[in-house]
Amino acid sequence: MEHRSSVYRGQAWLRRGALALLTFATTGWATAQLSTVLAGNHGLGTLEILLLALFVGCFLWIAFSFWAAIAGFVMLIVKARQPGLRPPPPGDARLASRTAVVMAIYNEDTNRVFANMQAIYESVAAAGQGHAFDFYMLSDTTNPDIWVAEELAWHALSARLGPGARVFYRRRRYNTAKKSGNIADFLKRWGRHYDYMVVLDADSLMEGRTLVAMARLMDANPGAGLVQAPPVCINRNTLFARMLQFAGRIYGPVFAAGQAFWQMGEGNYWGHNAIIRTRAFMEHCGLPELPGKPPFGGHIMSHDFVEAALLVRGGWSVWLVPELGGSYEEVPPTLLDYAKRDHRWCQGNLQHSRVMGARGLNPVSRFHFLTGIMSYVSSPLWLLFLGLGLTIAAVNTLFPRAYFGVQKQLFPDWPIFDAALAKSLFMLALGFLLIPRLLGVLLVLLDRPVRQSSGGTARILFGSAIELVYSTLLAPAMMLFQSKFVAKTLMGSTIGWGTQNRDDGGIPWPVAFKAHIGHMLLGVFVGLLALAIDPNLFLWLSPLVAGLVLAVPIAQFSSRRDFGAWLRKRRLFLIPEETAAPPVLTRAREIFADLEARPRGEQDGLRRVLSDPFANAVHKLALAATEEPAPDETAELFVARRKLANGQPLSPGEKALLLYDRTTLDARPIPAAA
Amino acid sequence: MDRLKFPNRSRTRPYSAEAERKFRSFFRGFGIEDDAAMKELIRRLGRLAPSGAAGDIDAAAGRWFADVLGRPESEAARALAAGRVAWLVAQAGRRWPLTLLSDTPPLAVTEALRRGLPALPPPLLGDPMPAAELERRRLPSFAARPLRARTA
Repeated sequence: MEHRSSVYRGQAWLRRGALALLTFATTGWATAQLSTVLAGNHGLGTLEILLLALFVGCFLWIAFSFWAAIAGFVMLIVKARQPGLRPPPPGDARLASRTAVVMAIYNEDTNRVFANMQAIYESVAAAGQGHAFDFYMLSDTTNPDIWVAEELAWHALSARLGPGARVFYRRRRYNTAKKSGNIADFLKRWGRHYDYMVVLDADSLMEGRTLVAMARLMDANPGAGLVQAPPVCINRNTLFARMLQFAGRIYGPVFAAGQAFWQMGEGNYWGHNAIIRTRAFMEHCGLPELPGKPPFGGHIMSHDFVEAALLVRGGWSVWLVPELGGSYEEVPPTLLDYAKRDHRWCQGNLQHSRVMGARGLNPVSRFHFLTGIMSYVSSPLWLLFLGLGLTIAAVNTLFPRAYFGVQKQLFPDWPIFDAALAKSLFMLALGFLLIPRLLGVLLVLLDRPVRQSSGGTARILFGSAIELVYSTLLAPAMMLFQSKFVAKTLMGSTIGWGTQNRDDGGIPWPVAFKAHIGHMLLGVFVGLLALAIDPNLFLWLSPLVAGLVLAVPIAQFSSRRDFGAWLRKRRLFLIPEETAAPPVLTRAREIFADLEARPRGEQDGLRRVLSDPFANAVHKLALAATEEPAPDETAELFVARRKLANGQPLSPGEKALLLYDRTTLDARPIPAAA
Repeated sequence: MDRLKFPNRSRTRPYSAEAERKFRSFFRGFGIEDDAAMKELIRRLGRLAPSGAAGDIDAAAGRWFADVLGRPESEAARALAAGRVAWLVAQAGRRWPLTLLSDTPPLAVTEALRRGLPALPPPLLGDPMPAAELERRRLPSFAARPLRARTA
């Protein structure tokens, strides 16, 4: 059944058509120029044709991003609204719909996630619509100590919020299908109680007014299946993360508006900070297990793209609404954490190659899959492009052209190299990469409050320049990382879906050295090779060579919190959320500091539950609330019980088993000293 | 003489020593430390769940908490779990130990328990969430036909 409005669809295809036309036209022109440059007066050989093919693949994405960003900039300048997405009626009418705010957690810092949840809860209550929202902590935690800590934190949070606080806690015994399975489990248990759900990550923060606005938007648009509020990156202190936050804040709006421009009601889901119509999601977004082994078979890891595609296939619209505001997340603190996350995302996105051909998907959804895949595959393409370019240069040096052919001729065959054309092509590519950034800077400079709270014009310009140099130096290492991830995934290697590091810890020198030694050696090799071929070539490649040779110090210094703090004191890489923290962030920090100051008590979860009647009671309440059955009387359980009785060390799995075991839990109280 | 006046309780009580041990353990989980109160509570529970089986103890106590907290009897298990937390939060084991399992608990206790009661999620629905079909698009019929069939 079609729920989407037909209002926007004609315009959407017009916009997409215009973007496609511009993208293909510029790529075609650039390819023709490169072809002329490469052909010279001797025509195109196999290597040159290969190089051209790689260039087309890479340039298409640059051109598309460029034109989308231009469109986004225009949309922001003219303050255009999304046609087809009806704004909610003005006023503060009491919400009649019911929304569940669900936060999926997995072995996280308990105080941090519960502080965030409390801040969001209070923010919604302050917005005057608390009655319309319920809050769920959906735990997939496997560490039994963290599990028990979460239960106690949940009860403490309920007590702090007062009687009637609707914050619930549920831990799954088996974390099948990771986060998507966690959300699906919630929907099966309680989904039908709610009209909508807002999915949050463990590091998500959202203002109450944003959540209310999203619920109103869904109310006003009965055909909307999902509304995504793009999150702003905040709350980090390392140099790496602060530069990422700064780049996201300055350039992010242009790119987000650009995406909204062409996606319209066939948008994408970013996995969190989005509101979803539960009925639509339950009907269409149950994810199957793909046949075959991971990384391409098994559970769908990057579930968000697939869920958005399934919603659209089901006739629901999916919207990206950048103007919502009040939506935040955190970035990985260091380059290596970022790369680790990229590895997971790379594996997940490449798995989409198994899904993108699915029957009935909207072409725009297929394009989302393709962009996701290309965001990683473009790295090995660039790598091949550079390698091939170097090879051609080396071949030309090692086997110089014969100026006089075998036949007698009066004039030599001078090699023709159109330097002006090559330069104009280079400038075009550079422009495509830099202009969207410049437009982002321009937008910030035109917005007085944002400009002032980002450190003022001079600091924004200086910060942008430094960030440009930094990201240029970072790009080669990231290209190699991503190429490795793509290769590993294609070879069948898998990476676990672990907890993201959310602490501002630095990378020790040996770790940075180990991670980047290959990059450094490659940088030295490429530099020497380029020098041997032609000093001019070395100059052209110097940013790449410098990025690789300096990879270790770049990774180490950028991971340092003190550098980040030092620059913040000098108001560099400042974002408005650092100058004046949003209320929800301020409150989350206050609560976190308060929780951290409290005594922690027994850290061994099982021991705590067995020795402390209150912890025991809360644990059993959490089990009863979700009607978790006791485990079967297996040999494993018997062994765990014996080990406990004999005071032998227990594995996390055995502890978890005992924490479900009625016999063990009822054998109370075991003295704390036991 | 004394034996006639005060017969051995173990002969008259309807539960075994093992059951008594379980009752004691159960009440310790409610923070009951006072000996006299413990004896009285054991007597009450012995009347309600003479077998001493964990299931019977919980069912009896669950019914009592469901009644006190105004929950339907079908939610007795949840009421017991939530009620025990509320009981411990209110420190009722120290303040009002003898009100536990009493026929008419005082209003102050009922109110204290309801105040300390954490909110529980709504009833479980157990809805299905069918797996989406992600089969690849069918090839056009001419392409799907084996090459041999087409060339024959």
